[in-house]
Amino acid sequence: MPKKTYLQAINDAMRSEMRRDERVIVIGEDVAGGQGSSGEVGGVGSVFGQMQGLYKEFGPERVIDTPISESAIMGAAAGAALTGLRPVAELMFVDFVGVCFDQIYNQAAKFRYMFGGHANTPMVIRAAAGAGFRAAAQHSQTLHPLFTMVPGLKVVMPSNPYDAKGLLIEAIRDDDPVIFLESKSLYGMEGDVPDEAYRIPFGEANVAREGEDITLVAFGAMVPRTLAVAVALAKEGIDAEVIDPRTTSPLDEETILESIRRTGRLVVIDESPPRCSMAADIAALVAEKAFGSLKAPILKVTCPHTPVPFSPVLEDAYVPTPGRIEEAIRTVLAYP
Amino acid sequence: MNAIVPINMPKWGLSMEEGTIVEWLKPQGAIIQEGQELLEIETAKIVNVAEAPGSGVLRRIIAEAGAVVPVGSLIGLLADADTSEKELDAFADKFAELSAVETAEVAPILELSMIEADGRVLQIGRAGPDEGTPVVLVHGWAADLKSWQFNLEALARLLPVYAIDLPGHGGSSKDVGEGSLANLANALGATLDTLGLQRVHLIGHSLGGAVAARLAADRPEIAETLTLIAPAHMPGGQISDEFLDGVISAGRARSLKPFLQMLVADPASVTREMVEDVLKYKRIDGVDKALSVTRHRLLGDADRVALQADLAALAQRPGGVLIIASKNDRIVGRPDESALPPGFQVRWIEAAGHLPHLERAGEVNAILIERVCR
Repeated sequence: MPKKTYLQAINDAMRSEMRRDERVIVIGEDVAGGQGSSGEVGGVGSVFGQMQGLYKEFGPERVIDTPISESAIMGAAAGAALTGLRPVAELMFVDFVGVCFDQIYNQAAKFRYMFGGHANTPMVIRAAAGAGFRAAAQHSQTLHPLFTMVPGLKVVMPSNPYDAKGLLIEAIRDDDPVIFLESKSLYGMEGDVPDEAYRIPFGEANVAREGEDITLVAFGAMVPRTLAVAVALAKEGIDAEVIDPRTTSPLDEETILESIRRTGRLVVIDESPPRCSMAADIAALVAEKAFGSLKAPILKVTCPHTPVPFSPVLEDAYVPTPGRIEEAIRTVLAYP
Repeated sequence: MNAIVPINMPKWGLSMEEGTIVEWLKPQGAIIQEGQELLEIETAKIVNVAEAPGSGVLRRIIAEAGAVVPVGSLIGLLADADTSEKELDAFADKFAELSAVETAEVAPILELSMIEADGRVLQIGRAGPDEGTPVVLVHGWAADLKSWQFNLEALARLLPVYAIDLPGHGGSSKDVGEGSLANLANALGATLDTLGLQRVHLIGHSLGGAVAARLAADRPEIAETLTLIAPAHMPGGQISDEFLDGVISAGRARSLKPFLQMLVADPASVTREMVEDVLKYKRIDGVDKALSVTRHRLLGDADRVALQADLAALAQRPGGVLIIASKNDRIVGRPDESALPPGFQVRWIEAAGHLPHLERAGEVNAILIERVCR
């Protein structure tokens, strides 16, 4: 099977869906790029290269550069989706969602309900998310809790190249608004990715590692580091189960609860400040529905309740580190 | 005095990079015959037994149970009883100088390529020398050419080997038409035509066995020999819809695993990676349709009745037809020897389920080699 990066997998998915369905369009800032400057028009393909080559193949009618106005991008995409297109709208950094949030949570998310099922909004909102790039407070957030709490939105957080392609294809084929959060720090990650198109259903967790001693739930960029900690601890005889829900909404509750019923211990690793995080959400879910199985309190490994620091040393300490993940696991296992 | 025979970590399949030694089945000092089961190895994809590459005394076990070792590395030494320790040391040291990569490249790997045949794009793999009557391996339902991973090395040492991904499977087009044996046999025949292979040793497993038989019946001159491993549609057999339906319906690793365990005698040999591979295959566009259509056809009468009507003619072939089967096959059942025309021979494999070429690879390889080298 060919090896591709997370970024190439996303590009693969876009290309194959745009070939399959001419209603799929791309809209955002610099998704083509290069207009009005020297160099090739369409030569940018998004700030990290995610949309590379699409303008060349599909042209300006289907790959649309916009002015710097997120509310225009999202408003246009929502309208286009309502009237028969399947837009993939890009938020260059998820942090910019503030300026267009109305179009997403108050408009797109609610059309189907408010129009009594007579309207669908089959749009995908792709955004680069996460810290680790020294991009400071306004370009390093993930914000997935903000989207997850909105009924009417689906929220996807792929943690590896194979999942990224299958989940993006599924997102494009889904008739509801889907927030597709790409972890910036994973763009270079390599993995086996088929050339053919395939879909991974939403609400289906991946059990990245099976284990009996403790359940670790992690999302997006937190999955590879949680897996690495689990593999290292296995040498000490600690057998950790690592669950990657893939989508925070819909959430695969059953896989998580079934795991807790076996292990009785839970640590949730979430790249988010602690209040109203996915970690808090899952801890509450488990406490409510699997209380009798718990052998120890649930621990959350999250960012602190502060903006993302600009200082490299502080930023590296900000995101859940392998050390903090390991410490939480040992604490839970040592209880009481 | 005989040469010292190195025992290396084998390379099973295309992607194996290292293996874990589960257990040595013979102790140090034991007298070993070539081909005897020597040690159990676990890879990411499967647990299997490696056979002795030569005869002699197992003078040294270099990698113990539990060791994780790269493909090609030296894990033991076979030699005469009177070979000195010094000579063994010298051999082991010299071997260590060869990089693991060099020795791994010696093992035959399938070269994959895409060809156009019968209006579809199909993936094939090739290994082995250029001379000799080629062996053509045809996999079963929901499998692909990688299922021959334990048979390639043995066969490719002697003859050119081709393995095909049938339509609907592996890397091939997912268009199976009406999913009939004829449709799949035409694809197989057209593949051989495209490759310029006029006369081959046809070896098919399960559905692939029925496809190979269908092709040999339709185009007798194409098959030098016909060997069917746990084939579908034999008299006395019964195809399990519990298995077919289960594999199609199961969407999660947890629910799929018990159905894959129906394939083998030892349920523990079905690893997570194997289950994941099948899940990933099922997600590919067009696969669920291909599996549904072929399932429907497998459970129907048309293909089975037509093939069974042609068994008498197949039996007349020079060399007849060899069936390799197990008495505990939960997928296609057990062929009724008394209902097979003379000219059909059945070799029964003990301690195997529906996948004898994987579960008892050494034994099956010996049978296959004997058949194609006659």
